[in-house]
Amino acid sequence: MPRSSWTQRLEPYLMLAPAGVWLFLLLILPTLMIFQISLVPDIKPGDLVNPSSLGNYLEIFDPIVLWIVARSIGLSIATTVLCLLLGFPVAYWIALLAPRRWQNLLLLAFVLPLWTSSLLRSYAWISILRPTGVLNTILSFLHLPTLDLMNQLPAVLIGMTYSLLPYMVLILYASLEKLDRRLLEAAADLGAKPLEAFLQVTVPQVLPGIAAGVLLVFINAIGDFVNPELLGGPSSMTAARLVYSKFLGASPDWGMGSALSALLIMFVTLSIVLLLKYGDKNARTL
Amino acid sequence: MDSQQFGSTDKGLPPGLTRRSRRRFLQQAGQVALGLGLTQGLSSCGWRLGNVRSGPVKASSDELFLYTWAQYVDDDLLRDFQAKSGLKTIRELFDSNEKMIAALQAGKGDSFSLLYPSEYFIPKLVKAKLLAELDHDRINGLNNLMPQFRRSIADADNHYGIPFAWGTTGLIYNQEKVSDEIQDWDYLWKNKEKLLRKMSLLDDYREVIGFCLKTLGYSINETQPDRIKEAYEKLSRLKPFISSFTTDGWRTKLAAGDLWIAMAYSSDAIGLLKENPKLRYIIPKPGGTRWSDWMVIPKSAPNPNAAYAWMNYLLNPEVAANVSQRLAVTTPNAAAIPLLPSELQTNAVSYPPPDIMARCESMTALTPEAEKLYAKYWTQLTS
Amino acid sequence: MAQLLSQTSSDTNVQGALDIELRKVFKVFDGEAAVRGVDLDIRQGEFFSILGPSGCGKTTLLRLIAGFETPTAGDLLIRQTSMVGIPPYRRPVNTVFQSYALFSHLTVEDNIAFGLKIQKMSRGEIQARVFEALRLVQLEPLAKRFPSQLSGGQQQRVALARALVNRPTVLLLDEPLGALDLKLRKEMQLELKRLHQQLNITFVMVTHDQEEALTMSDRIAVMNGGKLEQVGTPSQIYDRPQSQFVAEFIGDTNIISGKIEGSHPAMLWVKSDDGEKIQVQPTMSGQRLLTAGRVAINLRPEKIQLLRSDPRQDGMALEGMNCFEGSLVSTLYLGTHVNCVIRLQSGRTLLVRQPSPETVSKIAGPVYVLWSPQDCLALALPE
Repeated sequence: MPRSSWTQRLEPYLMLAPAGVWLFLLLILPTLMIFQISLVPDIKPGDLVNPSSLGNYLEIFDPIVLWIVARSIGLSIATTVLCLLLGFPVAYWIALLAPRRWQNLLLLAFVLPLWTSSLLRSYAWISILRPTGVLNTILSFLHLPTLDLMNQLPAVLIGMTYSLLPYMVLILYASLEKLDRRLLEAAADLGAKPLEAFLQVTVPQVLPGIAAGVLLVFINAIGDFVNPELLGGPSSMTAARLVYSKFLGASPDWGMGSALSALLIMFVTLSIVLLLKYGDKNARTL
Repeated sequence: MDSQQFGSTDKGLPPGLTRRSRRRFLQQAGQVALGLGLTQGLSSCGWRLGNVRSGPVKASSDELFLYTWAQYVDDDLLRDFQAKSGLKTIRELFDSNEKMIAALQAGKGDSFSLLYPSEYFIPKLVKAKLLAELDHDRINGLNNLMPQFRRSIADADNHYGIPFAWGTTGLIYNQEKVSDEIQDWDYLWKNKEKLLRKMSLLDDYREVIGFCLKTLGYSINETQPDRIKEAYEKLSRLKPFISSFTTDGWRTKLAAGDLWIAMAYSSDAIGLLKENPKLRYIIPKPGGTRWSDWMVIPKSAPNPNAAYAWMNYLLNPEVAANVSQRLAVTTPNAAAIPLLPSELQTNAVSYPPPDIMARCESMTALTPEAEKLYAKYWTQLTS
Repeated sequence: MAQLLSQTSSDTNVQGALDIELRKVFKVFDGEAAVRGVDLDIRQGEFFSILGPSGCGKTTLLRLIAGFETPTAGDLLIRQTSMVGIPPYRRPVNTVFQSYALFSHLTVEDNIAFGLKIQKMSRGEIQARVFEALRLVQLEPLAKRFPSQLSGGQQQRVALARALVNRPTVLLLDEPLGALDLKLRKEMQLELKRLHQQLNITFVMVTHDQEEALTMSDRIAVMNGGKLEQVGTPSQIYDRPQSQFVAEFIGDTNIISGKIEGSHPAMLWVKSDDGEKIQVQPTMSGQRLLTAGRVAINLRPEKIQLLRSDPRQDGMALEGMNCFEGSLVSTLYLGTHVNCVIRLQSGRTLLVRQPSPETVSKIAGPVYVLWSPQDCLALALPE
């Protein structure tokens, strides 16, 4: 070979280098810095970052903070479940039932909200859900009892589900669209009624897609602080909001904010790792 | 979440939210990046969390760099200033004192010729050695200021700054929804069932805990732990009934009737009252806060001459009267008040009568211990 | 072991009893008729092939039987029961799909057990049946593998086992060997034949490979343009094609068009368009003997004898034989035989198949072609 073997061995690394540098500078390095800050007690701007104690982490084990973290996780799980329940039928319909030439248009219609700022979408929900808003106007027009959802967790849940539903639909669509329809015919041929075929063939076949969608929505839900901030009330503090306020709120505590960030990052990473492992098991069968 | 979405401009917000306010949620997410723009030197032994940069200033001598609240400048003002002084103004906005100091400490101190901190925040900046002392020889019209602003606890003798605007914190309410004439903060507690999710409090721990301390007969600057706790407990009883802690979000909701009562800064109330006669602003018994926002010059300011020119320009009574009218702010410039339209001079919201002013207290910096305690209770309250 | 899988009981398998009956079946897709009025009987226990070029409607026909499509018109019966409106999961048929359609998330074992589990069969019986099916297709060692870990031939066997384990009345095979290479295809042909004999159930196979159909089937239906061209045994199809389409589609053939010049109950005299006088055995056209009009003579290449010297001069008994002089244009070596192209004196070319390569390799000069009237067939041409 005229080309020396080391250039060949280097080639893939050279191709990965720009992305690698990007990731290192803008993801890995900042994450490490946050982790370092989290180990400095009572840090103030200008202080030397000198990791010395786990005090900031102990602060997280304050019942109040734990309660906030638990609420965040619960809210994210609820959002994920809602997105899955609402998104699956939609993705299924677009991928398998809708006329083929409409598919792209329908998908576009569903993704369209992503083109607007998430802030605007939250404001739109305010105008729908507020006591004298669109929803209650319609309800009272129909002589139905009005709903008081605004500034409470249901409103946050609605806002977050709305924001993240397009992601779920997109991912499930990609997965369902690849589903080999002959497998459904094969199932029917072997005696499976439509529901049995759905549960025993469709769902297992798109399980990696479901897992990816669930993961993406869950991670985004954990990190969302716009919806809790705008649609929530006095009792809807979430972990992401708390991190925000620890950095830019009235009583900054960067150390504790960093510690909470680091824990959230670890938690999310752990769920990804578990999911990849689980997803791998599925991938093997594909 | 992607932070670039929050670098919102006025255009990006729906109608009703575009009006200028002193504070706005998610106004300047650019500062998030700034606040975290930590590195100065990754020296061999470690790195510092932000740093005050002292380097050569690159600004040209005919430029003024302002770092201010959204409500406090408009294009007319900048144009008029340029016409009079020949100086071009570049402004950046912040929506909380904390963001401002974070930006400074992250090394942006040499990017601003002039800052607008709140009065109680000045000692913090002084302590962090961020401010330059004012040269009074270069200031004209210091005597135009109201006496109380010449003997501020935070900055006696205007050593570091001069005030630009002031106001009070009170309650704004919709008289169509609340027929009672509210006199007292305790009205909220007494009518909490009726007002379920129809009232909002500011998203500011000093203001909220402060007014509650006041209702208990203590100072808004209280530092005794048991008294702070007492205020927290009292607020906890109100919390299930309030709609949210918000500094900005109450305005559209109040106009729409979704909220009936909101705790508000007088500066935000002035504009709303003009548009909506159903609304009423009061300073309930036993009183509220009197806040003020000041102009100071950072140590590392580029072109301090321009900063002095700006201060002198605004100390001019005519300019101050003009600004007060147009931007709906209350001026501390005593000489400007006679130049205001008479109905504004007697406006009780902008210029409350002395007996009401006597109820109000200025905020001062807290001890670090007390500050920690306030923060802790605030986290519990807003969780 | 076949006992377990087949539902053989001699009384239900009476010769001539019908498993599938199609009565004037039409299938229209978007105004395009894929199947046009098909009448077809498939007998119990036979290996039946549906043969035709792509797009002829053969797969649609199979899908109609399986229930994946519903007929636009007509009736379809399986074991004397109308299947119109019966969904696939209630039909006593199972299908081996073209690309097998194995469930990638299930092991070989679970794929095979799928139908049995749906039937809620007991665990023990499922195990026994799956084991039998695995033995039948010789895949016992691969039971725990996933389909992606199997070769094409192995996947094919899994697909077979998965269908057969349910003991269908009829096994439908949609181009079952299409994806396999030649060697494997030959093996699987034998395998399928063996299974058919062993299980004694009806196989209906769709294929476009005429050789496959001829070697494996008891009867063949040739389809073209959504219609059945001919239904018959392989030899009927090959030796007695009833239409020019069938003649041309099945194997190589020479078509000589001409006009009947004379007829006799035992012989037809045809003058070809190029002037040759050809004697042909008489054929039926519908119910009547063909006696006049234009015809296409269908002459298989292997039925022609190739001679190097004029047989008439050699004193051979040529009474009633067709013999023409020509020259060798080209030869194509095909291993077991050679295809020669012979140009007759009239300019017409004929394809002639010779068994031994040596005899034709060095021919120069005139050659003679010879065939019996019994070896060619005249099919009426439309005027």
